[in-house]
Amino acid sequence: MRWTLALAALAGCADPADRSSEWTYVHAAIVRPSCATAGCHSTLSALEGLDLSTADGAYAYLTGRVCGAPEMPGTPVGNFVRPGQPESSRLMYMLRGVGTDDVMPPDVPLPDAEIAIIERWILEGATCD
Amino acid sequence: MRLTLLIVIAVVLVATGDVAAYPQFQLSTGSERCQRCHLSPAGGGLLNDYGRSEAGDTISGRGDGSLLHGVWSPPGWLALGGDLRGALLAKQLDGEAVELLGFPMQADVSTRAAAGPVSLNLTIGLRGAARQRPPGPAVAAWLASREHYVMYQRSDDGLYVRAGRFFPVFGLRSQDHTSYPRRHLGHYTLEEPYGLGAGTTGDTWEAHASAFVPNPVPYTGAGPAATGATAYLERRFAADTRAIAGQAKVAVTGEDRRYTVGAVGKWWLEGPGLMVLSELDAQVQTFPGAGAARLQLVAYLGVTRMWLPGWMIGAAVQRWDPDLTLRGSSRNALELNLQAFPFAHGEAHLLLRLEATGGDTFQPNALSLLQLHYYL
Repeated sequence: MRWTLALAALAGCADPADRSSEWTYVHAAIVRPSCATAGCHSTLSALEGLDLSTADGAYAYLTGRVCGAPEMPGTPVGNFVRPGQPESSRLMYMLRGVGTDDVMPPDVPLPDAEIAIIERWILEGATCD
Repeated sequence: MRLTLLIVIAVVLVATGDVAAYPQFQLSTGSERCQRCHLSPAGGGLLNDYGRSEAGDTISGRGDGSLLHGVWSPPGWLALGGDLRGALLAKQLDGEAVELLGFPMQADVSTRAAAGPVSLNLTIGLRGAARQRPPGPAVAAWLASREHYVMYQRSDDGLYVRAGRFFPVFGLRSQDHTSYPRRHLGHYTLEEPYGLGAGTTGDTWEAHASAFVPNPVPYTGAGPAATGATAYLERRFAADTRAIAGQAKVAVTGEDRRYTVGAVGKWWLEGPGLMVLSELDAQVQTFPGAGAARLQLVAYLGVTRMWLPGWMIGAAVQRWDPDLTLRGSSRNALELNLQAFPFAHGEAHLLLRLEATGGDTFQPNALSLLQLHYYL
């Protein structure tokens, strides 16, 4: 009974700002379960050439950087994320379905709370910690 | 208005269509467990002789449920079957245009070759592709083997041990891979791991346990590359009209760990002909690399009115909280299912679902999906 009450009291009381914006969290909590499904951006399907099933791989595809390596010259591979600039990051427009026909995920959009966590990760430099 | 139009179109379509065997049939048709009708301990896939007979006599009420409608019978050591499933889908995301899709959903061939208590089980088939077929090696893009395992099973007490690729017995094993317990607890499309499973049955209970490892061939599956174990214990009572199950699961990847406990409830109300299915799971997900943890929740409650032979109509509510304490992160769905079984081997299933993310119940996403299913 006490646990039930505690859970009820805790339900929905935290904001996205209370959550980690580290890439390992963002990937395992949001990107992998929502994007790397069998018919989409898994290793199996890799639609549009994007395999988001592993943290390092997804980071490279989204940011154009290799985690742990110095920034490489040239155009980023995917140009989905511009570190520090969520307003210029294509990924944010796709997640919010604004200004694009490619709403992601196409079946059920992410809730705003999860989009806010991704936005904060980008805003804080989109590092691969 | 557009939603109404979608529903009307879908209802018109289903009127000419036809649908299969789901967890609703357990208890309600007098079959006390999945393996009463199926060869797999987890249900689904190949039917045994009793299941084929039930498909014709009890569920559809007409036709011969035997392989190829009884035209040819394989030898006793060999079981063959298959599933063909096509889908018509209409979807409208919040504020977006309606998306219409038609696609092959399933084309599987299943076989089981047995020598005494040992059997080799294989399912191979065409991969479904709702929007776009993936690039890459042609064979991997088109074909997949969802299950392949070797099983030893005793006939007297149902004790079995199997090794290979299969979904562990866990939760409500709905045919609908988008149902929240399947979608969010590691039983989504092509997420079958490799593992070792065992189980046994008693007069009023069954118990299953599995240990699993990631799929070693990434091009043949999806989902978290997890190592872990599951346990499932189901107890029936009230003359096999009710069942309660407890279950637990541990899944560990390089990024996270998930610890799940849950319960499944099944209740057949013979008088009104209602089958109630429910599941509630709590899951703790930890992230060793990020120093955080979150509590997750999956809930499902469905009621189906059985008009067998021939028809079922059901309603279900579902909830998925990926982070129970995070405001605005939940998914909620309300759905209606109309299922018709006009003849043995045939099925039509119309799903109408309203789904809200982030607690937004005022502008939900709308889905109508018509599946036409034929099994060999």
